[in-house]
Amino acid sequence: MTRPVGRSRILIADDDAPTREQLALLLATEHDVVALVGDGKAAVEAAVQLGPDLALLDISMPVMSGIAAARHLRKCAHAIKVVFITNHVETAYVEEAFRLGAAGYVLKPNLAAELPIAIRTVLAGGTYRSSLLG
Amino acid sequence: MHDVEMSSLDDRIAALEHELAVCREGRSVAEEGELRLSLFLDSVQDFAFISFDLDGRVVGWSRGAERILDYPQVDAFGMYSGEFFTPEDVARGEDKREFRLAREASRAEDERWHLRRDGTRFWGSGVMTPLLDAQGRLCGFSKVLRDQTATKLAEACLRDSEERLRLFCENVHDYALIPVDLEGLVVGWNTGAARIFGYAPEEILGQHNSCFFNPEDIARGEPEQDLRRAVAEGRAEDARWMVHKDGSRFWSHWVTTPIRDQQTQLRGFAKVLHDSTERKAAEELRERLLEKERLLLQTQVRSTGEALDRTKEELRALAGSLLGAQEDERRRIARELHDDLSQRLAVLAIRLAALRDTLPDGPGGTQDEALQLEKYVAGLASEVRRLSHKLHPSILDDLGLVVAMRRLIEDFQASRDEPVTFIEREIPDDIAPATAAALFRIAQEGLRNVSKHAGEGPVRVGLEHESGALRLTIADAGSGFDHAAVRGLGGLGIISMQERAHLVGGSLNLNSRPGEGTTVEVRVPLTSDDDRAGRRRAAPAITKETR
Ligand SMILES: Nc1ncnc2c1ncn2[C@@H]1O[C@H](COP(=O)(O)OP(=O)(O)O)[C@@H](O)[C@H]1O
Ligand SMILES: [Mg+2]
Repeated sequence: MTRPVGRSRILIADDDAPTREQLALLLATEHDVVALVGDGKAAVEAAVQLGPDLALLDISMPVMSGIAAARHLRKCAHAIKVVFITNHVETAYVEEAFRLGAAGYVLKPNLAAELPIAIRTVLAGGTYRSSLLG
Repeated sequence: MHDVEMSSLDDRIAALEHELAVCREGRSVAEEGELRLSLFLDSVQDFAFISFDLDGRVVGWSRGAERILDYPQVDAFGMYSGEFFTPEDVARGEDKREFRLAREASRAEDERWHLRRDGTRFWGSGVMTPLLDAQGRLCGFSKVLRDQTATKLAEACLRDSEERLRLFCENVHDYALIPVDLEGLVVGWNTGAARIFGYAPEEILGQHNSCFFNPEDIARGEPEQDLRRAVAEGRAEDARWMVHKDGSRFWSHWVTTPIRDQQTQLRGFAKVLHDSTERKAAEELRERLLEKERLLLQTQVRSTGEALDRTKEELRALAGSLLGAQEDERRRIARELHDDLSQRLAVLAIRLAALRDTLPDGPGGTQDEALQLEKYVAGLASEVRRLSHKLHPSILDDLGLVVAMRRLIEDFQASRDEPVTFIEREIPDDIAPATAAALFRIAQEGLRNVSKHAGEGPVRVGLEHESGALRLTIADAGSGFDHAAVRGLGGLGIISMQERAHLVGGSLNLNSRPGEGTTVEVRVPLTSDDDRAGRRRAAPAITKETR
C-alpha cells in the first residue's frame, strides 16, 4: 500500500486515551496517523521503528515525559519534527521545548483551532508557538 | 606451814598412836606424851584431828579441826559426829557405817561432803581408826580429815570438760574430727568420721591418715605436706578429692591443726574434715546455671540487637513508604489541579476571548468588561498552577532535575538580596525519578532552612556528577549551628533530608559550626532503572504515576 503524495506520517503520544482518539480523528483527513502511544518511552521506540515525519508529544506522561522523549529523538532520530501538545504554559517548559529543537508548541485548550495550522506550518519547515502563550 | 602427804601422815599417826598406847601404861610418861601429841597435832593446821568416844561424841579437837570445821574447841566437845555430815548422808546412816567400818576393818577411809558450823559444805577426805586401850579394848575413835574442796572441784571440772569434749566430738555428725599422732597415724575416730569415711573405729585406728587421700595426691606427697604445713603455718587448710572406705571419692574441705601440750611440745594433729561434695556440686551447678544464663542473656542481647536493627529497617522502610506515599499524593493532587482545573480555566479564557469578539466595542463597553474577566481567569489559572507546583513540581518529572533545580534557585533568589548561585556540571538526563525527587526535596528543605535559620549572606548550590555518584551541596555563609545540640529537638527537616538520601542509597553530611555557616552535602549513587526497581521493592519510594 502506497500513501498518497502530500500526506504526512504522524505519531501521536498522549497518556490520555480519549485525547489520543480525538487527535487521531482530527488529523486523519489530512495525514496518516502511524502510531498511538501512551508514554514517552513507547513514543521513542515507535519513532525509531516507524520513522514518522512528525511526532505529536504530550509533555506530562508517565515512564518518560515528552521532553525526555524529545531529548532522545534529538540524538537518535533528529529528522523527526516534534510538536508538543500540552497544558503547560510556564516559561521553563516553553524554553526547554524549543531548546530541544521542538518545531511547535500547542496548548491543549485550543487544539481544535490551532493544531491543523501548527502541523501545516511545521511540515512546511516553520515553527509554531501557541497564540495563548502571549 | 607443813605440807604433809597423806601416806607419811598415816605413818606418823600410827607412830603417835603407838606412842600414845605406850604412854598410857606409865602415867607420867603418859602425861608428857599427851602434851607433846596435842602440840604436834595443833601445829598441823591443814588437817583436822578429832577423837570420838564410843558413843561417837567429840572428845578431842585440834586447832586444824577448829579451822576447817569452824567450831571452837569448847563448842565442839560433846558434839555427835553425824552433826558434821550432810542430812542426806545421816539419813542413809553413813555416820554409823563409818564407825562400824573402822571397828571391823580398823580403818575407814572416807570422802564426802561435810558441814561447817555456818552450814556451808566442804569436801572432806579422811581416815577413821579405832582407839584401843592397853588391854586391846576399844575405847574410842580418831579421825584425820582434810579439806579437799579445791582439788575436788578442779577434778570435777576437768572430768566434766573431758566428758563434754568427748560427747561433743562423738556427736558431731557432719564433721570428721580425727586426731592423728606425730607419725600421722589415726588415734581417734568420731561419729562424723565414721559416717563420712565409712570405717569402723577398729578398722581405722592406728592406720596412717594417708588412706583418706586419693592415689594421685599420695604420689605427690600431699599427706606429709599437709602435716608439715600445719606445723609451719599453725594450720593447713585445703580442699581435695578424698577417698571413702569403698574407694569412691568425695570432695572435702579440711583443716589440720597441730596439737601441743602445755609445754608447747608437739603431740600430734587434729584434722577436721567436711564432705563438701554436695556443696561443690551445688557450686558447680550454680556456675553452670550462671554460665547458661550468661549465654542466654548474650543471645537475648544479640537477638534484641537484631530485632532493633530489624525495627530500624522497618521504620526506615515505613518512613520511606510514607515519604513515597506523600509524594504520590501530592503529585496526584498537583496533576489534578494542573491538568484538570487549570485546563478548564484555559478553556474558559478561550471562550471569553471568543465571546469578547462578538460584543460591541466602545469605551467603557462590554468588551472591556470581558477583557477584565479574561485577565481574572488567567490570574486564577496561574494561581492554580503555582499551587500545583508547590504541591509537586511536575517540572521535575517533565523537564528533569537540572531544570527543576534552576527554577527552584530562581524562585529562592527572588526572595533574597544576596546572590544565590547554582553550579551544575555534566548532569545526565536520565536520572532515576526517585533519585531526582530525593535530591530536589533535599535542596528544597536545605534552602528552606537557609531562609528560616541562617540569616543573611550568599548561598551556593552545586550539583555535580563524579564517579558514578551525584553530589548536591547547599552552602550558606550564615549563622551556622551545633548539630549535636539541636538533635532530638523536634525539627524534622534535617531528619527527612537524611532519610530521603538514605532511601535512594545515598548519605547526607552536615557541616556546620556556630558563626561559620552551614554546608549540607548529599551523595547519591547514579543507578540504572533495574537497580532502582530492586530498591523500590525493598522500600517503596515514589511510584510512577498513572493518570
Ligand atoms: N542552614 C542553617 N543555618 C543555621 N541553623 C540551621 C540551618 N539548618 C538547620 N539549622 C538549625 O537546625 C535546626 C533543625 O533544623 P530542621 O531539622 O530543619 O528543623 P526546623 O527547621 O523545623 O527547626 C533548626 O532549628 C536550626 O536551629
Ligand atoms: Mg527545617
